[in-house]
Amino acid sequence: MKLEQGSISTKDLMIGIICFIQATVLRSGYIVGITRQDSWAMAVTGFLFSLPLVFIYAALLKKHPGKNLIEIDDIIFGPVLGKIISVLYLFFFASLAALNARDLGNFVADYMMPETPITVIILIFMIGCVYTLCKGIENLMHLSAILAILSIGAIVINFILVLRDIQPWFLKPLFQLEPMRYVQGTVSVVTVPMGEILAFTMLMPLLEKDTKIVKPMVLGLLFSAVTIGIVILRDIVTLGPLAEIVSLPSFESVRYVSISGILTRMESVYAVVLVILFLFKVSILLYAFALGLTEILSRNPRHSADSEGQSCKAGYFKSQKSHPPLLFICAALIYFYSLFVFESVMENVNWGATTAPFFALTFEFLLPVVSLLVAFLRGNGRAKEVQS
Amino acid sequence: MNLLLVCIAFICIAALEVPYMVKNKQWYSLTVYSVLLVSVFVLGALVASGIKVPSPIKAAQAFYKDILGLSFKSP
Amino acid sequence: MHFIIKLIRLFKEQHARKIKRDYEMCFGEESPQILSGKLKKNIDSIKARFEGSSDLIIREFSFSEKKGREVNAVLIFLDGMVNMPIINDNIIKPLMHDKSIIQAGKISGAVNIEDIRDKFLTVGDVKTVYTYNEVIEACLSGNAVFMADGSCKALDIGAKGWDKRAVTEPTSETALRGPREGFTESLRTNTTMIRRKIKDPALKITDTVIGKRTHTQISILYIEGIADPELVREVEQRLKNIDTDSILATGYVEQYIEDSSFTVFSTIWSSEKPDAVAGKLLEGRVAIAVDGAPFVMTVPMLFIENFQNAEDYIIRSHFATAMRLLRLTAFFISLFAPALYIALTTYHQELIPTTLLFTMAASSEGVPFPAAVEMSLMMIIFEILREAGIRMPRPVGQTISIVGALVMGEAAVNAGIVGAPVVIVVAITAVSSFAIPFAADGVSLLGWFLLIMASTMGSFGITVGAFMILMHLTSLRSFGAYYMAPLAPFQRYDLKDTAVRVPLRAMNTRPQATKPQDLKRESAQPPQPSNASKYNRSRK
Repeated sequence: MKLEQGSISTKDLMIGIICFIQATVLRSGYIVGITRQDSWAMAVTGFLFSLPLVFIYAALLKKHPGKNLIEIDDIIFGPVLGKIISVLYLFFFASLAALNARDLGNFVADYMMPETPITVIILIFMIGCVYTLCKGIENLMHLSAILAILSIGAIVINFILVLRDIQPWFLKPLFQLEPMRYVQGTVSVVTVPMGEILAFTMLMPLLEKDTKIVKPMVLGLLFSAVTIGIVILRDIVTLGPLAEIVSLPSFESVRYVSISGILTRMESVYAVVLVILFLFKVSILLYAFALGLTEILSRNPRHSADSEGQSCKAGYFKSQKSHPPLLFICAALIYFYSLFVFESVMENVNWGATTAPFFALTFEFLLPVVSLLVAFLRGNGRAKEVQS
Repeated sequence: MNLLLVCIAFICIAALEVPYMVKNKQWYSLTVYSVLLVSVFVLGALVASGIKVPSPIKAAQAFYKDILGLSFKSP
Repeated sequence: MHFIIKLIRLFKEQHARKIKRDYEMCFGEESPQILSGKLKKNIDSIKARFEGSSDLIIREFSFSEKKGREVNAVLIFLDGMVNMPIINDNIIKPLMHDKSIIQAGKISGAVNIEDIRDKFLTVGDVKTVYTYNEVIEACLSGNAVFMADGSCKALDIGAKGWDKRAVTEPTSETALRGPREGFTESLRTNTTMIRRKIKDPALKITDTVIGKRTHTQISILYIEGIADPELVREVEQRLKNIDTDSILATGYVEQYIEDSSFTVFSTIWSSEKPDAVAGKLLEGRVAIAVDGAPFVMTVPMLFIENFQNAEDYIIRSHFATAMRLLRLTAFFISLFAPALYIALTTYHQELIPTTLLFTMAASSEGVPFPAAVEMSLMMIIFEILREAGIRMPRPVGQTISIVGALVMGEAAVNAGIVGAPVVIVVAITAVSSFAIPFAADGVSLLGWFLLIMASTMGSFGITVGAFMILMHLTSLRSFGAYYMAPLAPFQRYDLKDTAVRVPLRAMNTRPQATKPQDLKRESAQPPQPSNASKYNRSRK
């Protein structure tokens, strides 16, 4: 990856984060299952509690500018332990990618094309992701502006169109549940949609010079929190108690839209937007995984000719940006992983509601905090040595 | 049938990257690549033949739920 | 006094030494490239190079110098390429009829050809040339070459006068309310037309010659101070790297210098109208004109230029905006219509309104093929019709419309080979692709890709296919500019000229995608009426 300086600007980063989280926003049914009619407040608390995560990541990245997560681990923990920690991170990214791909496969197989086997759906999806990464992850980030406009526009239009059917008293009673549920809801919101921006730490070397990290992350999370709140609010007031029964409340609430008998099936638009957003999300996760694997396994530094992928260069007069050479293998790995990750949808839902927050919390919170502490101690230790 | 498709797919993947590495004599990259390719191919062959592969996520779930006890109650 | 005589002698010696040097250069060692002083040898060499061609004319004549000694001279040119009146009246006539000519040097036999050029040839464009290659190139460019016995220099006299097409209305781009001149095949005419639009000395026109056999002349035009010098240098570098035998049209040059040939969308824009090219030059782009083709290319090109037309700036802004949005809609229709139809009828029948569904089901009752095959068949037939329509000679052209309308439309539907909705969809697709002439080729190819994705995976396939096309477009670069700017990366201040066209008063910055040096156009101040005029009462 001979990149002297990337081309992702602050605005691209912020909008990329928004797009990344939007994908999970549209499938936020599990939160409604936990906190029922107060779920919209979880968006607010979730945002507040995800701010520490952002500051942790920003602190880590500021100390080592221009390096991605794997390299920072190598520097902080030393070569051997750093590689082990990196393998753990990679397991996290791979699992996320496989789970999301499987999620999308389930969605498409259930609602759009019931007769197609899910293997083919996920295969075409992964081919789309691989092609996207062949063309360059920076171009994907450039494209995020249009995708964000598309998805926000879809949400706004859907919201306006269901205004006719809302029944605001579904929001009552307010805050009557036991506190443990609120904790569970908040932790779910923090870890699953918002904390996954850990994947963006793998993109750090591709930023332009002098881009800030904290501001786009915070603003991106804020915007996403607002959208999560609005979407959940819309679902609750449209569906009422139905919201926690169906598996996709957003989808169901869009089904209510009916304009003069012609525009009755707006959920196809919703499905298209969801597919595009998931393509975006899984592409970034796939990139994080493939790049990490390349860096762990290569004994050359990142900026050498050996680590360039060749398979996507066919037919290019001047290839723009190179991609990790293990791209195809990593994509195949995630494809097969997504086929056996869970046997049934119920297991998936169970995992998402109960154990997933803690699983994600270790990687999103615990490991970065440990890294920061070790870096701090080491830095202090070294300074002390020099002084004495 | 599925197995055949998987074989063809992996041969295509190998054909895209291996010639370049052989031409440039990157033996270390070639070994690493081959090891990875073979392992993913084995995995793919297992999945394609319908053999049940234990999922690492389930292992993680067992780890977190049973060993560490960190888990919310299902609603 | 002594000193002055010494000075005069010094000058005379220097002059004699110079003449001796010239003489030795001319009559001394003979090199195969440089012209020699002997006229017969020069004529023989040139005749040998053109051996076998019947259009080489060698007009030998002689003129006398002061002392009554005749000097032999020759005029070489190619029949049909020179303007004969110039040859007759401006070159041969003054030399033959004028009595007082050349000053012979001290050594007899050395003719001062520059003197002849300065004093006797009443032609505007004269150059001195020294080598055989230059002489032959001059002849092949349509100039006449004058050589005299005793001089090892020749004069390349501009007398071009071959037959060329007159400046007419361009056939590929019709203008409703704008200028109707179009480029022709002559390079100088084309650059002149652009020069007439931009009367600024900063408009630079540099020439190169490309093509080992065709020696085609290529001009690079740019406005110094607006165009990025890096861009100009990159263009020149890429043109220099072209290594080929023949350059016959702009398309050749385009394919050699473009960024990536693995794409269906063109990254170099070309036009037949000078006002369009002038507009692009003022935005900081670089134009490339090729001798022999009535098209001029501009680089860099953005995707959004596929939907822009030079006339958009002439008509009112609201209408221009509407037209641009219409073209975008036409683009989407011609790209997605066949695929959407297939996806809807095969996989997602529930998305079609019920009454329409019944009609469509009824019309595809007796049709033997599945929808995808039907659609492909009709699209192929339509492409054949279109190609035949272009290649057919005019008298037989009427047949195409009759055959197309009656046979394909009516008879095929009645015979039950294809269904009526399929014919409608294909017709709409085709007509929409005509609304965007520049991207029509790319769209018709991509339509097939989306058709395949739709017929295998329904609307999911279309979504993934559309995303892949979008990624492909975003990854294209055109001479360093992002192809999808200002949409990706998002540049808010450039959006005023993409899908909409804001009024000209608001367009006071140049688009940043092409990195022009001078960002602000001259401010377009609305005309300030004088206060004391009776016409401005309503403005309050």
